[in-house]
This record gives sequence, C-alpha cells and structure tokens, in this order.
Amino acid sequence: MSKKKILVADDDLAILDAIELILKDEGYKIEAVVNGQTIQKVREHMPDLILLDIWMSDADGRDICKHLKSTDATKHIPIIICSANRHTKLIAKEAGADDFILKPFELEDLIATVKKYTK
Amino acid sequence: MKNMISKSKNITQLESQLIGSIDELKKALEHAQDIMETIREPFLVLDTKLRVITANPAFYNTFKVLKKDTEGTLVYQLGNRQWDIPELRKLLEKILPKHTYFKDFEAIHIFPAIGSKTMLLNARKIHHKNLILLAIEDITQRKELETQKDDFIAVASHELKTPVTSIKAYTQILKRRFEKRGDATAVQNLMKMDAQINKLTDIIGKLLDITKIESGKLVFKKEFFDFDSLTEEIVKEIQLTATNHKITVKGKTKRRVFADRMRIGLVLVNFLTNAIRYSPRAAKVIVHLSAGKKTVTVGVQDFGIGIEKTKQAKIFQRFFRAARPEKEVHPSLGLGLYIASEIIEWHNGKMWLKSKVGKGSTFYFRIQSE
Repeated sequence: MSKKKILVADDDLAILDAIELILKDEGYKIEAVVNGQTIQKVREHMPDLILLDIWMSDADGRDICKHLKSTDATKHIPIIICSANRHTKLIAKEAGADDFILKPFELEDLIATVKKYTK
Repeated sequence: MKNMISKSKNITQLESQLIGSIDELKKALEHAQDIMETIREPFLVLDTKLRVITANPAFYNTFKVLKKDTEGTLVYQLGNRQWDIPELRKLLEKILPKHTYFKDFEAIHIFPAIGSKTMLLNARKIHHKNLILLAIEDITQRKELETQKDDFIAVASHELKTPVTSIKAYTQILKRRFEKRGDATAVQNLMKMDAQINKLTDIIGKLLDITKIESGKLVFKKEFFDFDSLTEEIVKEIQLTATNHKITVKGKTKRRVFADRMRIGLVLVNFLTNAIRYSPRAAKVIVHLSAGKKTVTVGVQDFGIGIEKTKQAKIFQRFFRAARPEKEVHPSLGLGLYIASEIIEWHNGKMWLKSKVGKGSTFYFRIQSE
C-alpha cells in the first residue's frame, strides 16, 4: 500500500521539522510548505490531508482553507487547522476546516487526529 | 453726648471687625487660589447655573483655552462648545443635583484643539456657597500605556507559544525514541521536561487570558450542558494526576446550565488543583454539589493549611497568593483565582470561600441554572 501524503504548512521551520519527524515515523509521506505557496503545492501534490497553520507571516490560513474548500479539485481533501490560540477553533470551523489542533499539542493527539482523516 | 461717643465706639469696633473679617476672607480666598494654582489637574469652579466662576492654570494649559473666554461662560459653551459632552451634561444635570457629588466618571471626548482625551471627572456641590467644584483628570496617557502593556503581554505570550510548540514536540519525539530503545531513565527525565513545558504553556495561557479579560476581549461561548457531567469529567481528569488525594463528589445538582462549558470547567480545575496543592498532607478533597431554585452551587473542600481571615478578602485579586505551598511542587503566579473570579463574574455568578487556619478551606461558586 502506498504511503498517505500529508501537506504541512507552517511558517515556523522548527515546528514544521518536528511535525515532519513525528508523522514520518508514523509512515506518512510529508510535503512541507514554509513560504506561503500552499495552494500551488496542494494542486501539485494533491495530498490526502492538509495540516495548516492559521497565522503565517505571509499568508492567512483561513483564506487558504476557504479557497481549497470552495475549489472542486481540492474540496474533498480534509484540512486540520493548527493554532496557538484556542479561540481560533471557531474561526477554523467557519473557514470550513475539518478539525482543529491547539499548539502546543500532545504528540498522541496529533497522531490520533491525523489518523482519523487518513484511514 | 455720651451716647454718641458710645455709638461711635461701637461703629469703630464693628468696622475693625469687618476689616478683620474681610482680611480673613481675602486670606481664605488667596489660600483657595493658591491651592487651585498648585493643583496639576484641570479644575473648574462653577455656579449652580453651570457658569465658570474660575479655572486653574492646569485647565487653561491642558485644554488650550483663554481665561477671558472661560470665566463667566456656560461650561458647555467653552471653546466653541467643545465641552458640550453628553456624559458631562448627564453628570452635572442629573446626577449632581441628586447626589451632591460624583466620583471617577470616565469620559472620552474628541477636542478640536487637542484631539481625543480620556478624562476622569470628579465633582462636588457646595450647598452653602452655591458652588460646584469640577476636577478633570486627563488619563489619556495612562490608558494608552495600559493598552500598550496589555498588547505587549498578548503579543509576547503568543510569540512564546511558537518556540514552546517545537520544544514540546521535540521532547515528545525524543521520549518516543528512548522508549523504543528501552532507556527508562531518559524517558522519565523527558517526561519531567514535558510536564515543565505544560506548566509554561499554562502560564502563557493565563497571561493571555488576563490581558483579554482586562481589555474585555475574552470571548465567552455559552451553551447548554449538564452540570454534574462536567463536574464528573473534571474530577476524573484531575484524579488522574492527583495520586495522593482521593477526590469525592457529594451530592448532585441534576441541572443543566447555560454557560461557557470550557471556562466553567477551568474554574473547577482551578479549585481542585488549589485544594490539592494547599493540602499536601491530607488524603482527600470533597466536591459538594447542590442546587437552589434556579442556581447550582459547587464547593471544593480541602483539609489543608487554610487561609487567615485578613488574607481572605484579597484572595481573588490578581497575582495574590495567600501562602506558598508547603512543598512547592507547582509554583504559580497567583493568577488562577483571579481568572476564575472574572469568569464567574462574567456569568453573573458569585464566588466565595470559607476557611480556617489549620483546618482547611472550601471554595464555592454559584451560577444560574435552568
């Protein structure tokens, strides 16, 4: 069985690397996006799941989420929004995200949430 | 003749008394004038028709108006009607006649010459002299500094969460790797590290909450929920880490409440962690649940060190800690109860405590229910 592909977008390289390490250990293939070309990268790789940081220095995760969820080619891809602010949960839902992860996260929670959408 | 001399003497006496009184009056006026000129805050003396009798130099300096345009003018007509402020009208015309004074009323107004100002207004009516004293403190700068401070804490704590997220993630990655290799000591050390990171996250979260509470930005989300289930859930969660204490729930409310579930849960967490923290030698904590006509009440009772009467009133204040826990296992900033009281206050609820030194404390809160 081929590896499931996850696209992780975060403007913090250390967080991006950590998530990549964790999810690679779980057998996923990771596409990391650090510089705000998330939409292009999604089109290019068509991942099975997207982990999206909500506030990136050069992009707004909400807009990216709304765009992907309203585009025919990408609307089926589950999106998990990550944020350090727990009040963002509602914003994530409004933007059409499938789930929300609060930073800092427990490794087990991250893995469980990712697994839920990549069965 | 004798009569005439005596009358003249009386007149002379009266005259000197009058001169004396006038002198005293002059001195009193000079004294009052000196006080007014010394006060740094803008100050107005008005008659009962709200015309300015006099103003102090601080008033002229702050509001860039001239004495000739001020004295004798109706307060609202000062400087092209820039003092015609609805709040001030209400205070002077409605509140002052009834209550003779008002204290610390905050008013924000945009003045044509000096821009937006936040002012603290204090006034007093002096009945026997038909005068109104109006003190105006310009607190614009203080308010700006407070906002800047809160913004700074908010930004700083948000920024702090980013490195904490990666530190936590790497700690957990390492822990997993050591687990696989069977290195129990390393795993244990990393678990301690992870616990400290959680504490740091908690502190950052509380700082964020405080700045939000004070700027009124804290978003509450009300929903209907079963109060007993929430209590049970929180008790279970806290029991997991409280190995030395058995937490017992006594009673039931059998009620649903319309409140912010997550934040009411936070208050319970705070009460329970405090109860455990401040009773290191006790083995139990009791949660008392009860319901009134349209209210639910929770009391979290510990059998610990208790709180002195003098400190009880201050306990819900920001950064206040009644005592350092005996074993300082969990150092805290003393923010928890402050945040808890703000949460309960937002729900129009009540929070209080009963405590006896050496016997323990019970912290209560009551909120409305269905």
